[in-house]
Order: sequence, then structure tokens, then C-alpha cells
Amino acid sequence: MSLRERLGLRSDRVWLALPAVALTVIFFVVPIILMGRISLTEHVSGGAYVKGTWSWEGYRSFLTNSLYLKTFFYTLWVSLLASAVCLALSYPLAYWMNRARPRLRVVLIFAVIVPLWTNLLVLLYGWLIMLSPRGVINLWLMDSGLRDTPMRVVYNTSGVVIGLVQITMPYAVLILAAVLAGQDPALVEASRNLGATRSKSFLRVTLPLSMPGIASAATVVFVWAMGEYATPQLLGSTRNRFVSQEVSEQMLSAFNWSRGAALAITLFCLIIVVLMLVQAGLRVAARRTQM
Amino acid sequence: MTEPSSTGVVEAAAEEAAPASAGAAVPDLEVRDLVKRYGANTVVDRVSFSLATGEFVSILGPSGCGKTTTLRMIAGLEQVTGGTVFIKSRDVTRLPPEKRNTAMVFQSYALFPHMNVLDNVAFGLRMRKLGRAEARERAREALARAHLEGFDERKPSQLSGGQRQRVAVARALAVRPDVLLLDEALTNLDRRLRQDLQLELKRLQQDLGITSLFVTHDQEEALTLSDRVIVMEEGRIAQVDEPSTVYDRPSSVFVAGFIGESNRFVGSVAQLLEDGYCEVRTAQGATVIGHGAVEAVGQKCAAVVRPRNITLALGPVEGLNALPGEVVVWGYKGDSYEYIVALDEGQQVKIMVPRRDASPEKGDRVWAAFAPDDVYILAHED
Repeated sequence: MSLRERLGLRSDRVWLALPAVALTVIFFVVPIILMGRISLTEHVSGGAYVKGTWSWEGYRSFLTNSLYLKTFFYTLWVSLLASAVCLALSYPLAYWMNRARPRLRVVLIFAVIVPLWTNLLVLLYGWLIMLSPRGVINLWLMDSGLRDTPMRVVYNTSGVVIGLVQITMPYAVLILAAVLAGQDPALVEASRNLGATRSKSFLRVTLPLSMPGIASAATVVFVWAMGEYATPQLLGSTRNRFVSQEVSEQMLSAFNWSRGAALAITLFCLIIVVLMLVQAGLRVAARRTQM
Repeated sequence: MTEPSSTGVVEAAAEEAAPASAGAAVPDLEVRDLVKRYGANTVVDRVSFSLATGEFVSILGPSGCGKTTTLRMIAGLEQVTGGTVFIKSRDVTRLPPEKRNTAMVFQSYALFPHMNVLDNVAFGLRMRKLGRAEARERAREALARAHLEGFDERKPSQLSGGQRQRVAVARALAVRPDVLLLDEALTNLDRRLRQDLQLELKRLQQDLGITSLFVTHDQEEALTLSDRVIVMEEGRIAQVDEPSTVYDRPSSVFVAGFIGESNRFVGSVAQLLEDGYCEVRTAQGATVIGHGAVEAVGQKCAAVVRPRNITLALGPVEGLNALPGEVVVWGYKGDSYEYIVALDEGQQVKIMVPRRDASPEKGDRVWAAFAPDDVYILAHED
């Protein structure tokens, strides 16, 4: 079988994909290649990078520095945490949506989608207005005497998680709701009929069958979180930073493009590795369950 | 019919046996005045019936007649608006489905796609707190009984439609339910396979003596499988009888029209004759003699005749109803020939004959002849 057949390409239709392919190549593939090239140049003080030179210094300089490595681990850890929190909140909502009466379902879907129409910065400043140490909630808590000191929920890890969950939850809910809607309702009925209680039916039938949706929702949240810049910048602490903040710092303040590009390329590769691991895991699970 | 055949004796014996089992002390399943309403819409309206131990009963009706809803209320998958469900004389009306010990075979089979065949069948046993080994052992037995050996490790997606259906039946039988509920369980199979599985299902059901309620819209299937048939129309029970009675003595024009094909002459009772016979004057002015439970001259009624009970004659026939007409179309149906004849009195009748002896062709003049015994007169409005 030729490659063209294997990919299901038919010559007379291929051109339909051309505009999208062209855009991807010009604005994604080419810049990534250029970025990769810059990450391998020498850097001299007083300039961004030296054209035409070859050097591993960009990579070496951060891979041997525990401060930069800590940034990577922090990004990874907070992204995983945000994925877990997001799924824990999204799954019950998606489950409810799927079982709600049609009119309520429309309302719920609308409520889930509205944040998507709102500018990211508006959302994040909204959280700041509500949650910052001198924000609406803290002022109210202290005025009413419930607390003496303000709650510290933003400008730290919890702030970043709150922001990330808020941003990614609509996608997670919609993915999970689609997977749940695809399940034959007779399956749960059959399990009840065969003697399983409501909770047993959920654990033995609904949840295992939701796994592909859970995996793709988790992937979306995780990938989004790994590359996030605005959320940690606005809601995070100044001590723990995300890789993208570091990239920005190197590019714009330290003016070390070699290292900035090296950081960006490493983050890019890390995300791809994680994605491939998830895909491989799913393929193994699928082979085991043959769905 | 003068010949005293041996089959007649067998039929008589069977008729004696049937009431004995139906008269067993406590029915396995009984529903009383079951009602289901969705808002102002009454889907099931005061339905009552009971099933004796080992009995196979079908609920037959067109789609939307409330038969599946009735089945689902018995299984506990649908809330009951009114009435009571008893299983082994225990009131289960308010119990959740898992506490009823019914087993249902779904139209879609509802096999768990993430479990293999053996785990699917063992599922109900595991939920009944059986150990893994024992559950699997009994699941294997059930699969063997359904002629499905060597498929234990397959996933439902790797099975054919007929195999899936067998797994679904095995899964239901494995838990040894008090009542087996089948919801259009054979509908999704092609005709040939469906007929094979009908007989197999019947054999399994009889071997195990399992009380079964079968919902179907396929009248042939219901007649083949059942000890008794419940015909439903618009949420109500239209008739409950043995298959042959439902076919030969339909209680209403609806039942006659739904079970098997029938020709219908609408009119009114013209004259009451002896022995329950009567004469009907059709709206078009023809006269048909038949029998049935009619009360008075002038009563609106319909005379119903099966296509198989009409013969094609080349002239009037003594002692039979014979209506003249002209052949409009005829066709070969595999095991019989089907004619459409336009009667002089105005309406068309369908006639089935086993052979084309007389060989009337399109346009030929014929008489549609049928015995008064084969005509049942049913009360009929409008």
C-alpha cells in the first residue's frame, strides 16, 4: 500500500487541506525551525545571538543550573495538579449535563461556554479583584471578623491552579460530556438489571468507558498549562515561575536569545514526549479492552 | 374436516395441559392496573396480567403502544405512575432494579464493550457476591447452554450479531432470574438468523422452565414463541389469548388487522341467524354471512376474512359467500400466490392461494368464495 493510500489521501481532495497546511508551515513549522537554529548559536553580551555560529551553550547553561531545572519541575508539577483538579471538577459537571433535562442541559452548556468568549486577561483580573489580599472576598472576611489576616490564595501556586482550571475547564467539560453522551444508556440499565447498585454501575461501567475522554481532556488541560504564560504571571508568585515566563525573561530582559530559544525548544520537546507517552498508554489500554 | 386425524388428539391433549399450568397457585409475575403517564400523555393505561411459572408470554403491538414501557416498569427501569408489580408474590413496585431479580435482554443487547464475553456473562453473578472462580464457572455453563463455547476471551465488538444476541441471553440466564424479560431481543437480526434463534430461545426457555415475558412488534415471532399473547393497543390490552385463538378469534378489528393480514367488509348487521351466525350488509350493498358476538340488527360491524381463507372460483359457489369481481394483479410469493381482486361491489380484497390451479390472469372474471365459518363479525365504529 502506498503512503498516500495509507493516509487515506485522494489526489482530487488533497488541495482542500492546502490553505491550512500552508498556514501551519509558515507560522508554526518555520518559526520553530528558526527557534531551534537560534537555540544553537553563541551568545555574546550586548547582543541577542551571533548569527551563523554553532554552540550548545544555550542548553548547557540552563541544564547545569538547578534554578532553571526547578522552573521545569515546577511547571510540570503545577500542570499535573491543575489537570487533576480540572478533571475532578469537570467530570461531575459533564455527568450531570449528560443526565439533565434538555432545557437545563442547554443552560449548563451555555454556562460552560461563556468564559470562552471572555478575554483571558479579563478572567484573570477578575480573580485578582475577588481573591487578592486586598480583594473583595478578603475585605469582606476581615470586615465581618471571620478572619484577622487575608487568605493567601493568589500570588502563589493555588492562584496559578485556580486560573488554569478556570481557563481549561470548558474544554474538559465539553470533551467529557461528548464521551458520556456517546455511551449507550442501556449499558447502565443492563448493569442495574443484573444486580449492580447505582454506585457499582458507575464504577464498573460508566467510569471505565469514560477513560478515553478522561485521557483526552487531561491531555488538553496539561498541554495548555505547560505552555501558559499569563496565568502564572498574573496569579502566581514571583519566586516560582513557569518556563514560558523564563523564556520571556531571557528574550526580553536578559537579551540572551540563545538560552531563551533553548528553553523554549526544551519545553516544546517535553510536551511532545508527554503526549506520545499518553498516546502509547491509550493504545495499550485500547488493545486490552478492544473498544 | 371429516377425517378424524391423530393430530386432533394431540391438540386436545395440549389444550388440557395449558390451563393446568396457567392455573398454578402463585403467578411468577403479576402486574395490576399498571399506569404510566408522561405529563398529560398516558402511555400505559391500567394494564393487568400475570404469568404462571415457566410460561412464555409475548406482548405484541405496534410501536408506541406501551409494550416496552410496560416491560421496563417491571424491570424497575421506569418509574410507575400507578399500579403494582408482583414478582413471586412480592411487591417490587418501589424497589430499585437491582433488587428485583429480573433479567433483561435488551434490543441493543447492551453488552459491556470493555469486558470480554466471559466477564459480561459473569457480571450479574459477581454482583450477587459470588466468588470470581464460581462466577466464571457458572458463566461458562450458561455460555455452553447458549452454544457459545470458545468465545470467552472475545470482546463484544469481535462478535457477529447472532453471537452477541446469544451472549446477551446467556448473561440474562446465568443469574437464574425469577422472570426473563426480552425487549425486541431478536429484532436486530436478519430474517434467517432470527428464525433459528427463535427456536433456540424457545428450547432454552423450555429446558430451564424459566418464566419469560417477550416484547415484540413482530406478530409471527410472537405467535411462534408464545404460550399466550398479549396484544396491546394505545396503552391498553386489546386481547390476551393463546396464539391460535388470537389469530382465529381476534377480539377486535384492531387485533385482526395487526395479527396476520385480513380483508375487512365494513357495514352493519342485517339479520341474526341460528348458532351465532349473522348476515352483514356492507356499505357497498353486498351481503356477507359470518359468525361473531354481535348483539342486534343494525349494529355497526366489520366482517373480517383472512386472505388464505378465500378461494378463487370461476362462478358462484353453493353454501359459501361468493362475491364477483375482476383480477387486478397477481404475484408469486414463494410458497403461495397472491391475488388482488376488485369486487363488483366496490372494494378490493387480497387472496392467497397455495397453487395456481385455475390460473386466472389479470382482467379475468372471478368469484371470491369463502366459508361463513372463516368470517368473524366484530363490532366496529365508523
